[in-house]
Amino acid sequence: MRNHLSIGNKLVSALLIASMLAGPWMTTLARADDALVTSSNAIGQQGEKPTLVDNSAAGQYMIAKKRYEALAGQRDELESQCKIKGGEDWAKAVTDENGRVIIDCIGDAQKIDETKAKLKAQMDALPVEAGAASSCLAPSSTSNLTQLAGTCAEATTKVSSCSTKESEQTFSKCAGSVGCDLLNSVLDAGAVTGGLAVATVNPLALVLGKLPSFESTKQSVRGSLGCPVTTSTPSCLTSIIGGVVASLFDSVNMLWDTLKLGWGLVKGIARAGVNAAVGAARWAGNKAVSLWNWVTGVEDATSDKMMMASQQTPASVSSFNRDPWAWLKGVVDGTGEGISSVGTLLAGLPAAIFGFFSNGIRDNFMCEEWSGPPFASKCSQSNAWNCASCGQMMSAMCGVGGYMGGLLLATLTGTVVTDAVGGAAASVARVAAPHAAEIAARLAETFPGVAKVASNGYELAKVAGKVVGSKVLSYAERFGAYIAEGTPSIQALAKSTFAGIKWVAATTPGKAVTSTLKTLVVDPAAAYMRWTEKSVELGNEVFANTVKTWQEYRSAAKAKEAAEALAKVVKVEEELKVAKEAAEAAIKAKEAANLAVKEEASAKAFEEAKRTAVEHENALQQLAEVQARHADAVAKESVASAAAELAHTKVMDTTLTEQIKRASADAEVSVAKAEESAQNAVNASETRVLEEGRLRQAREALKDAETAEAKKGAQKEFNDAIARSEAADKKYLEAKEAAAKDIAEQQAKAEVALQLQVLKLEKKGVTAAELRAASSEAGAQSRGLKLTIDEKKASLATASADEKVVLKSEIAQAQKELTPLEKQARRADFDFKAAQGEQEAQLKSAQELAERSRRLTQSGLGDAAIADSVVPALNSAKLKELAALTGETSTKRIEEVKGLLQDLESKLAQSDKLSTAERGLAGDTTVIQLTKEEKLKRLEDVYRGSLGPNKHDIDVMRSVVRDVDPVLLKDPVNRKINLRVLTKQAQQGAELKEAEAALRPLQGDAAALEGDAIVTEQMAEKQLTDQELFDALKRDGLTEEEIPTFAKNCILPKRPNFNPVGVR
Amino acid sequence: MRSKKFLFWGVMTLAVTGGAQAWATSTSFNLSKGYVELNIPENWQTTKDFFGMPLQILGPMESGGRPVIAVTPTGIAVDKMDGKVLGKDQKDYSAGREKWLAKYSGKSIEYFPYKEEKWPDGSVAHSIGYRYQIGANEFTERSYFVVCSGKLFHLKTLLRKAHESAYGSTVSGIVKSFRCTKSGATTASASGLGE
Repeated sequence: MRNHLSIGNKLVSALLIASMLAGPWMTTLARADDALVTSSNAIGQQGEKPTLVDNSAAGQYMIAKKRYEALAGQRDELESQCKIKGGEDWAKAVTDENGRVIIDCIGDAQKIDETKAKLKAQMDALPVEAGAASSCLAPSSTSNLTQLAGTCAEATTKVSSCSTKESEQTFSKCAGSVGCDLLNSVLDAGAVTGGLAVATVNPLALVLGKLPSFESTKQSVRGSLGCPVTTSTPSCLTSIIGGVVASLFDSVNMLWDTLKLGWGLVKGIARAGVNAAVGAARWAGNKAVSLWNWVTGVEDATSDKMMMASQQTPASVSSFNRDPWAWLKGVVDGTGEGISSVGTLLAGLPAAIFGFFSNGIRDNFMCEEWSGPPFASKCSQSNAWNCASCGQMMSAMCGVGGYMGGLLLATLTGTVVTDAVGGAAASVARVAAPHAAEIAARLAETFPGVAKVASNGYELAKVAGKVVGSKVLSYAERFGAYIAEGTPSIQALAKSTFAGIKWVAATTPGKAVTSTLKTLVVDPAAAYMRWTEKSVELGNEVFANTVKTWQEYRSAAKAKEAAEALAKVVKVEEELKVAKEAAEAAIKAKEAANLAVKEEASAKAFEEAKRTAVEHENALQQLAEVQARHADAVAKESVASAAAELAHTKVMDTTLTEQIKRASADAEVSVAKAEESAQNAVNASETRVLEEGRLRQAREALKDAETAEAKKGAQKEFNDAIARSEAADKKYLEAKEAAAKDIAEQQAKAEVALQLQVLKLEKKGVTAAELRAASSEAGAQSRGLKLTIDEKKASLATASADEKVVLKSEIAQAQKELTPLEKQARRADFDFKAAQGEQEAQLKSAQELAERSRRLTQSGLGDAAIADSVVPALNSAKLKELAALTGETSTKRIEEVKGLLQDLESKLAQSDKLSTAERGLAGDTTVIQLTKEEKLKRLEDVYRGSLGPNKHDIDVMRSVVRDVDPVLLKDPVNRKINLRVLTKQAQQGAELKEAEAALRPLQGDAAALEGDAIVTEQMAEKQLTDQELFDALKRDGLTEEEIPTFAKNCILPKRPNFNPVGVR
Repeated sequence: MRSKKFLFWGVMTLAVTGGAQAWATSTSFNLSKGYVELNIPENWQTTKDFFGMPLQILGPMESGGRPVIAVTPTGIAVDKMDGKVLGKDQKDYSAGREKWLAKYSGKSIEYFPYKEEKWPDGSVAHSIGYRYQIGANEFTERSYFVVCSGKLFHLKTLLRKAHESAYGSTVSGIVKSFRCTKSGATTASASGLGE
């Protein structure tokens, strides 16, 4: 045991790295089923290894060939979908009506071609005899059970010659063999399988694939682990294990990419404003897939991976984050950080795997004695298994590998056991119990000699069933019953339960078509191939329905009329679509405008909003017109049909029964049409609701925009007013400053003037003093002269004559001199007085000037103070004025907004009218869909409404209806009978005219149906031309590229000459 | 501005985790099909492409395992998911999980009904989950299908029973800190993660 565990410990690392190299593997257990068939020829083979190698080569060849052929089929299908009609070019992609890519033509073709090339290379590399041997392998997974049965039978014969020691050696050797085969299996995985796309999305595969020394690395890994350096072909068992391990490392992105391909099928998912649920339902009928079913593969894979990740130590994760390749190298050579933890996880893996299978087989199929309750305890004796050879053991393991693969995964992810051999085996025993019954049945069928074992297995399985659950019991009982009764059809029953059968059905193109949609969609991640096949299946289903419909149309001679009706519907739908797109565009523009208004509150946005509102109105108008035209068309048809009905009613004869049958069929078609119309009405209503909602949003946005605009305008004016006020203030301050400056200058000038005046006065003062002095001097001289004269006159009296003469002469001279002096004195005095007066006056004037200047300054400052107190008041007044202006502006704008809102309201009202029209249309539809009883009731209501309660008339009418043949009670007949009754009653009654008015709509209905019948009959004679058929198919929703495929599958078998290419 | 945003989310995380973690750092990740941003608590590890998963966030190792959060941008364009339809079809989820459990011989214990909720960043999350037992261990899984900026993201959590009380609120806080961004401001590289 120690020996193989040692090998196993080394192999653990190699397995891990190798499993990551297995990127291109298909990662599901289906791949394991592939491997099952590779060693089916091991039955009865003895020896240790040779047969396994040979058979594996053949098996590989067969797997590769099978995949190659499947891919070729895929390629053809892809070509039929993607090739542009009439040429060799391919479309880049196939899209649905919403422009979503359904098929990536170029990319998918490239992937398929690459994989095919790999597979071809693989087949060429295998020995020639492998190809020959592969054809001998039965392509059925049931062979693995036969193989197990053979092993059991052989082993049983060796019991007597087997020693305990021999048994232990066999176990040890086999564990080592499993390890080396496992290593080779995963190291060479890339060349063995041909999965799609995985290699391109597995990041580890990308990393490792770039290593130049990959081949030498593989050899060194083999050598370092004690395995032969040269490659040996892996066994089926190692392929199973490798696949399971590799699945843990595949990228979940691949699964999502697969799911993305058919995303349009998923219910309840909307994208880009498209009602995907409706679209998906229309595409796939009622088979649209639930999200939970669609993602179940992703849920499975992520649960597995997260289980694995949850057991990784922080050191291991850090090592991986730093360098994945170094981490892997560390795994191999045991030097990496955290490797011990990783190693612990998978320690002894090969031994564990071997024990897992070996003990599971022993405990379930080869146990002769249990330590406790069967299947719930350990097997204490199984000589037959212990004595089996390594080759026998390996073959047996391959036999049960498919059943136990899931358990192996559970073991690796630690969800069942985290230790090695013991725990795994115990779990396997429980889980394998239901399969034990199946395998036991196979043993009994193939090898009667081991019937005892089989019977024993059945008994044990029954017990196990009681232990582990009702499901197992059910299996056990069913198989046990077959064995006990000796029923020969065990094989048939087994086939119905083998997982391998399901896989074959799901992966073989021819059979895949027969699998149900449900089978596909619950596991969409299985493979791209399955998806492609399902697309074909879906397509076939749709085509078949279409053909059936066409056959019905043709048999009723309704083809042309139906085509015309379809054309009308298509036209209306197209018009609706255009109108809707226009409305949506307007809405989008509106939203953009709204956004602009919110973000910038600009006048431009306001104008844009108004413009888009107009566009919206136009779009609504357009929608209304389209719908009105639609309603008009329906109404015209009804009128025309009513006329035809009335005419036909008159000539109704003994062939009425036959016509009625046709009319009934037509009625069903009409109901279908009505349903379609109803759906259109519902769609239109949905569209309207959507539009209305958007209109409301637009209205709110417009309101916001207009309010914002009004505010903005007011704010602008307010700002302008403030600016003007500030400008006025500034101007005032400037004026004030200028005034102050002027005053200062004036003061300065006055000061200068005063000084000058003073100077002048001073100067004049000097003159006055001189004058005064001169006057005084002249007065003194004058007085002196007078005194002299007086003295001389006085001397005269006493003087001699001579003296008198002299005195008189002197007196005369003095008198002569005195006169000018007196004048001069008076003049000087006068001048002095004048100068003195002028000086005083000028001084006074200067003083007055100074006083004026002083007062002027005081006055200026006072004005400034006054101005300072007045300006705020002025500003306030301005604000009031502005407020008034703003209010006026807002009011005006509010009125404008109101006007716009009224417009919108009127548009809404218009929309409501449309809605009413739609409801009317829906009402018409409802009337058409009414049951007989409902129609009768409605007829009664109408009758009551028009003629008043009249029990007699109603009873008569009812009796007539009851008495007619049940066949005639179908819709059109019922209407006609009622029509007759009512007509008769109306004719008999006084209220004939009112009754006719009430009857007219009913007559119209009946006439429509009868008119259809007439047209139908007429059209029965006519065969559609190729062109008409081609056009009708196009109107039916097929593209010109799709029609040839459709024709190939559905038209040409019955109409071999139809040539869609020629028509086009 | 950005630091304020980080502070806000940090506070939010502390609020929702009840302070179980010392602090959380908002980190953005450039994944192959989109950018995402989450608050990562101290001592939690992040790893890209491990076992083929675009992004996994792992908590401390306890009771033989670690809490795991997986984040996958699917690259699928989705505007809206109809909660009524998803709720009506949720039995399909349980049917799928029962099949998976059968593979491991496990059994379901409890299913958490479908729920639609709006997350702090404005994304709409459609969640569902269940509790199950495999061997001796009990696990809780929750799947979140999140519509963010017109794209579908898949978030998934896996906890052992022993993790529920210690890390349940932390895991919930991390999940709800999810934001999808048009570009990563602080793109984390694989080599620099979780160190």
